[in-house]
Amino acid sequence: MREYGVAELDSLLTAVRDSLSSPSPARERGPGGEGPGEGTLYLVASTSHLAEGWRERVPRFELGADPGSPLEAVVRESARALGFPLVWETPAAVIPLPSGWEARARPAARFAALHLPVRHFDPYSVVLRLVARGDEPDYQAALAYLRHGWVELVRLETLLGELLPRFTSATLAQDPAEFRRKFRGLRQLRASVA
Amino acid sequence: MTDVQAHGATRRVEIAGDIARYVEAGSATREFPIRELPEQFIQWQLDYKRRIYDAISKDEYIAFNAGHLPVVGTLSGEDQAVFPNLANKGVGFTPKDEHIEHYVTLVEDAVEQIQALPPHAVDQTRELRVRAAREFYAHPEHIDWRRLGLLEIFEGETYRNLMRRPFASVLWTGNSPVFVSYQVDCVVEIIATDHPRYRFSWAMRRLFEYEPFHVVQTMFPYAYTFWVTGWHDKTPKRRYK
Repeated sequence: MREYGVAELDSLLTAVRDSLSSPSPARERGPGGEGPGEGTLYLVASTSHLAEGWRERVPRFELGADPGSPLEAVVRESARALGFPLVWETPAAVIPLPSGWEARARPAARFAALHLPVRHFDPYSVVLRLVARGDEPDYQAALAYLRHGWVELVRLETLLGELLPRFTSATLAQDPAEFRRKFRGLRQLRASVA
Repeated sequence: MTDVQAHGATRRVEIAGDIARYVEAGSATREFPIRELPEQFIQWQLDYKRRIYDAISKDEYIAFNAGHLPVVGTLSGEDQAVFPNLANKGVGFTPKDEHIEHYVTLVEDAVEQIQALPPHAVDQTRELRVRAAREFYAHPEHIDWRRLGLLEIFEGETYRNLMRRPFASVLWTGNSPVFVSYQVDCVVEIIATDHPRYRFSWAMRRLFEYEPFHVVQTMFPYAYTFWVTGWHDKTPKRRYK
């Protein structure tokens, strides 16, 4: 059992940057650091918190990009080479995303010097995804977003109200009744530590 | 390990690599493979401890320390006894053998500094105490997740049962809304006060002796090493879709 700190996250993203910078005629970088068709590399949940200094260690790195992005192969290979555990997933793989999610993605200032298109995935989408899974670390990660003011409960509930009709009970992760129960758990937990 | 006398027979637990051997009257009667705790449980423990240390450092009220106070079940082994004995016990973890001297020194040094001040000076020493404890749990790779560390206080029913029958099950139950729950089955080694694992557990206890969530104790006649031989994830899950 080991955990990983921000120094290891730096190493991983540096390795990704180096790999993307290796000579390739198809990889001319844009002004935001992005190559053609690569899109944005997203930090998700506890990995965002690590980058922001909210927590010191994580058991694995949680990253993602748009479906089909070539970033996936590069990040996976870099993590494998460095021996870091990686979960490659964004909330979009599990729940419908609330409107405006792209605009709510936040810059990851820590990695600006890398000239990589790295952002924090929309915190509201991430919290909804965490609640959908509802394991103990998920609630703690959701609370961290609330505690640091990246997510406001009132706005979260508004977005959830828009989103629930799009949930389907065909998958357990999106069962609206189950989701409401878990969401109440988050509200109560928030109230107990406020 | 400590030999114990029960019903005229000498009983002991021996650890050889990844095997816990129960020896009675000089010959091994049963062997148990030692296993490491599951990663999900370890992560829950680490996160829980960090939250507790955050709360201690802010001098916040701690209603219950579920990660540290599981229920320990033991059996007396006597024919007439049909019910297990259950008791909440403070349970922690100990460093791997190759790291234990380092951490014993780290925590005992902190205790020594604390003892230079009067016991009621908990506010002045809080940062030092929390820092020492955090340092240990900041390196999960230095922790031996195959064993638990407990201190004996009362020499009551649990102690008497373990003297006769050195096996115990431990049940943790976390808080709402998830109620993380694990049962861990263990072979129990009783260790004396000069053992590094006793010293480590005792020093860790003394870091937080005067916090409100502890009832102050001065004597711990033994420590236990609970060697993990099995575990079960009992966290409630939705059964039907």
